[in-house]
Amino acid sequence: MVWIGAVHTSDKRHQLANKILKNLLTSSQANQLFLSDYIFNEIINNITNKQKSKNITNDERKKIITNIATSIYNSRYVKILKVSRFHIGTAFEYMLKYPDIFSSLTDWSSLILMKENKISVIKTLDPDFMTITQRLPEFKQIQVCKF
Amino acid sequence: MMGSVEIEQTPFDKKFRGIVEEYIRESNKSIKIVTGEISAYNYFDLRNAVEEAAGRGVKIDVYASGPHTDIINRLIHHKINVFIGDRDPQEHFMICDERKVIVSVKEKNRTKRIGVIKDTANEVRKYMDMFEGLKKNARKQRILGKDPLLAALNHPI
Repeated sequence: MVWIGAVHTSDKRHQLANKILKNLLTSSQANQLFLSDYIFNEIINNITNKQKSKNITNDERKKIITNIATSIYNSRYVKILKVSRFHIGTAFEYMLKYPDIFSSLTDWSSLILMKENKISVIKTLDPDFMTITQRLPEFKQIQVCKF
Repeated sequence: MMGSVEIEQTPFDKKFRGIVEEYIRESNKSIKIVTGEISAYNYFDLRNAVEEAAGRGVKIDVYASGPHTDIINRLIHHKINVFIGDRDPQEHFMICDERKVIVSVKEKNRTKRIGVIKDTANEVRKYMDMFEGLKKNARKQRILGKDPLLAALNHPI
């Protein structure tokens, strides 16, 4: 995930993800980055799970979580979109309808939120998004920038 | 008109926060807030409500005594006016459309703050005056320093 890799040096794609987000924030076009609350949840879960498997002190743990929370949650360029019952219902319906597409419920709900909020570009390290936008006409207008 | 009504205490302040969110979402002219560190802004429900209100053109003024720079910057970025003063009044409050006030007060012998809704003209006027008094001696803020995400990208963990 771009968000995790960007701020976490132990992530295998840290350099690439860090560069993607830095470029977005420093380019003149990007003044707002979006993620869903499900993605935010995944970021925090992923990092806390990694912490559990390592021997780190409570102080280090606190520092890491505070750093992630403040950097993403309080950034003036970041808007966290709320996933509703409607989004989950719709995303689940897509999962049932297209079981051959290996996207998660979070992925589907991200695309549904994008369409609803007219967000046209997704920067991702995940190839499944491209499969969806190429196959399903309702998501065709979403541009997937994969790395 | 209900006069003055204490909000029932519920786990995690669900009822209080629900009413605050509802009042913010119902506002269509102005919101004035007096607070300490603006810690309520950390609640996703209230943050969304206030940013969406600012987005639909509601004029929002916040007086606070000690918020974090990142919070100030984010509020200003969303076109919310922030005034910082030295006083942290015992009563924190929010005035919506100059019609109703929600007051959060730490009472003696109580560990938690309690919420009270007031909607009489006299009460609203009293809090409006209190807000103006605090604002008069406060400094209007502007965006300062680097965005926390950019800082984190430059110094990843």
